[in-house]
Amino acid sequence: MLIKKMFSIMILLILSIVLTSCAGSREISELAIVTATGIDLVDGKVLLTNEVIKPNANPTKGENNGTSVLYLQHEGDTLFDAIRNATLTFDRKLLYSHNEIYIFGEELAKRGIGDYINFFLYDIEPRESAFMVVAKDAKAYEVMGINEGLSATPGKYLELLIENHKYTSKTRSLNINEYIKYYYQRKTPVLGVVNREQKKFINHIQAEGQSDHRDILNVEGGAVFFEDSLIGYYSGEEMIGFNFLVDEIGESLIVFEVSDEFTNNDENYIATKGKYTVLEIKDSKTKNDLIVEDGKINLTVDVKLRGVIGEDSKGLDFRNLNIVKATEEACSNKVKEYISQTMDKAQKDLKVDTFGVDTIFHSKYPEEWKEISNDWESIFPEISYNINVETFIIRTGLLDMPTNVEKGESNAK
Amino acid sequence: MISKYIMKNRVKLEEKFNNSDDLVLYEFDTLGDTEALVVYINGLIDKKALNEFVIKPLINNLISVYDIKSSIYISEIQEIYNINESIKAIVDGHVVLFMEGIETGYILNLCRYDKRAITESGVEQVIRGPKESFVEDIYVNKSLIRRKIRNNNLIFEQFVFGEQTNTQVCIVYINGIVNQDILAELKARFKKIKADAILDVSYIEEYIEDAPNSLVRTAYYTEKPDVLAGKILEGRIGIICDGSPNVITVPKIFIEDLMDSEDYYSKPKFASFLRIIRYLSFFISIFLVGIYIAITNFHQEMIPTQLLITLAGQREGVPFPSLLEALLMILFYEIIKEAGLRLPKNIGQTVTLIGGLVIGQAAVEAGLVSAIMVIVVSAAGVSEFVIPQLREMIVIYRILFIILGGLFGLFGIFSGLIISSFHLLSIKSFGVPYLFPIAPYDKEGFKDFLRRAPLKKMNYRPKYIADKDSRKRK
Repeated sequence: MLIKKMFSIMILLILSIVLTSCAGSREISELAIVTATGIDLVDGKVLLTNEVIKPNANPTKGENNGTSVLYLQHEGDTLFDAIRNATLTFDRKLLYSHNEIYIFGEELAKRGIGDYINFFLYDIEPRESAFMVVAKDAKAYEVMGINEGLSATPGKYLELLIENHKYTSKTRSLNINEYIKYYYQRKTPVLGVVNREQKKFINHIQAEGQSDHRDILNVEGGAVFFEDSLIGYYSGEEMIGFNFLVDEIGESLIVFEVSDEFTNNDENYIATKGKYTVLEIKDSKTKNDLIVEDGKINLTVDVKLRGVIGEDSKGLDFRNLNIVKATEEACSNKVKEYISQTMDKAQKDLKVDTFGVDTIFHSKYPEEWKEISNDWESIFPEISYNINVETFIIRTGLLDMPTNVEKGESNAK
Repeated sequence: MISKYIMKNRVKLEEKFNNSDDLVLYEFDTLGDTEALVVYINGLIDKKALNEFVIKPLINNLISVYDIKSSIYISEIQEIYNINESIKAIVDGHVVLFMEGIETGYILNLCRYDKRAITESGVEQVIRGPKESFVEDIYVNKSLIRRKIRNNNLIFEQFVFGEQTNTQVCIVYINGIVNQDILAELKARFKKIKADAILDVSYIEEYIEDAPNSLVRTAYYTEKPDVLAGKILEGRIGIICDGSPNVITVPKIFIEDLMDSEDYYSKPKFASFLRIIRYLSFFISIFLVGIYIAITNFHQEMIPTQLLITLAGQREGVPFPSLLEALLMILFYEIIKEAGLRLPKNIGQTVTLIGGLVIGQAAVEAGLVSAIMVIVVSAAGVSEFVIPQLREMIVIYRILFIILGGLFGLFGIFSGLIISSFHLLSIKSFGVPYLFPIAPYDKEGFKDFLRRAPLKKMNYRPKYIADKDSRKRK
């Protein structure tokens, strides 16, 4: 009985080992928290730039409200080597568990990042949920240390910019886990990009001799990778089409024009000079299908879109069902435009399948896939496609008639 | 044997009591010229009643010694034939009457001594519900219970323990609800008690408890008649001890400590909410500090980044490792608590205030401990007061979990959790599994566990504790 009891206790104790990750205790005061990492290649060596939090014992008494950070640069033959080399010149051990952002310099991205990033999977500390972005036209360290937001650290600023992708769909968030998934499937991942831009500094109380321009970061666009190296960029508009194609569109806006014939030219309507109507996407579903006919591959993209009219500068009267229909159609056409723009760029310019069309082919025609899988890069630019978009306006915001209609007597008659 | 001659009885008693100062032996002659002797202990009896209803009629009316019972006006008279029985009666506070010429003594129940008035319970305070509490006197306590349960099946059984103190101990239960096996077991354990003194009911608990080496108690303590009535109506057996305002009930299961009489006096949904708060407090008070130490030392990746940054700032410049820091804080906390508890009320407050200031503010400002550690320790400390019944267990377990968490991280915490669960699972109180109704699972028992079901829904008395398949209502 006692042996049985001891035995079951032992088993449970052994099982509980899996609940934990680290052995050996480390006081927080022995660690340096890394919040952003830039990776560059300089003369064949990895140059690592780390943004490290400088602990502030009296946060309320500090001069600046934000958290102060330090930047460390270290070289090594590999990532791990560079991280360990950091301990030669920096007194605390770097803690990567809280790093949410990895920035790749353009030069390194063009050369290929695959051989370096597997450190993220080998080691226990780095998070697989950390975002990967490419510094467009720059070294990674050149876009670091810029904080023009309200975040405590520049790393957090960039992280939140990336997390905002769902509001515009003009960029994309891709974390290590998702990247590796693409990587193993031999697909072509699309990473987010980060640009350094100049912004006019608007502040009435300006210190003497201060530059009136400040650096800010912009994450519009996407970096297209083939296998593991950068081959080109999508622009912001192309990213909307891309997000539609891979069904990752967020609550973004579609700005489109409705034909003039639906504009109410009644004299009761004022302020109809605007061109655009805006739809806020609430819900969207994309279904890609493909058919082989006479040796030709035809891709069908079905988009079903539900949204809310968010703004209208044209004076459309949504009480009229015909106008609602026309608006829906105009919106659909705009989406079609976005998608075909991206398809054209992928087929003609980049010549890589960034949308996972190969996976659809593979699952639908497994036998044929074996024959053509090696030539997919030459086949993809040749495939034809047609796009069907169905827009449904679930409501017209809080109004059912435009604000710019003149109310009163003239309306009553 | 009682002698015919009261002189002999008198000498014998004086000898037995070793001429104790408070022993009164009063001799007088009755109307029929028979000598009579009353013996009692000063201060334990009602002298007025003795004069009025015993001595006065005897002196004025008694002619024949065989008419005693019809001459005195006392409702409780017992005849005895043994001098040792009279000794026992005298120490119990009775009056013993001897008459010249007969070999019989009479025990007259004229007990009257000063006792504390029935007041509001100081420990188990309630907003709603009965407020009276037990006092030290066993007869008053019995009457309080009788008044709650007006039922002829309510049984009191009297025992006397303590070779020196001869303390009256009484068990109370309801025939028909009580589990006979448990009753027999309790009586068997009572037979084994060989105590020198019984000064409080907790002495009895120590002699009959199931897990003497454990930190948890296997008997439930209460001060309130309504709580006791609730317990014995569920089939438990109450043990009342003369001289103790606490009454214990057995068998006890773990979750009883997390219940409160007020649960049954408030709305069921609100009572359920309060119970969840209590369970949460229980876990917070035991585990919070340990888990904090484990996570900050071993699993920094589990802390939200912003919090980690704040923590890192606070830990900056603190001289001790966080395990030592936590143990120091706990030590000071326990000292302050003990000081505030034992001192007279007006000084106690000062101690708590100064202690709170020194630890809460000065220690942080001096950089001895981090502010977050003060928050964590005091959160654990406050949670402890939600369930004062489990204090003994919480205080020790908390320190154990701090050490386990500080040395082995979450692995240590979970190992400790597993071992302590094994320990609790192994305990039985009078044959009832201690973790009932969690293990073994009981559907009916769950109605009165995390949630308090409406009274209409609780149809059965607790399994194992009450008699088999005991339904509350027909």
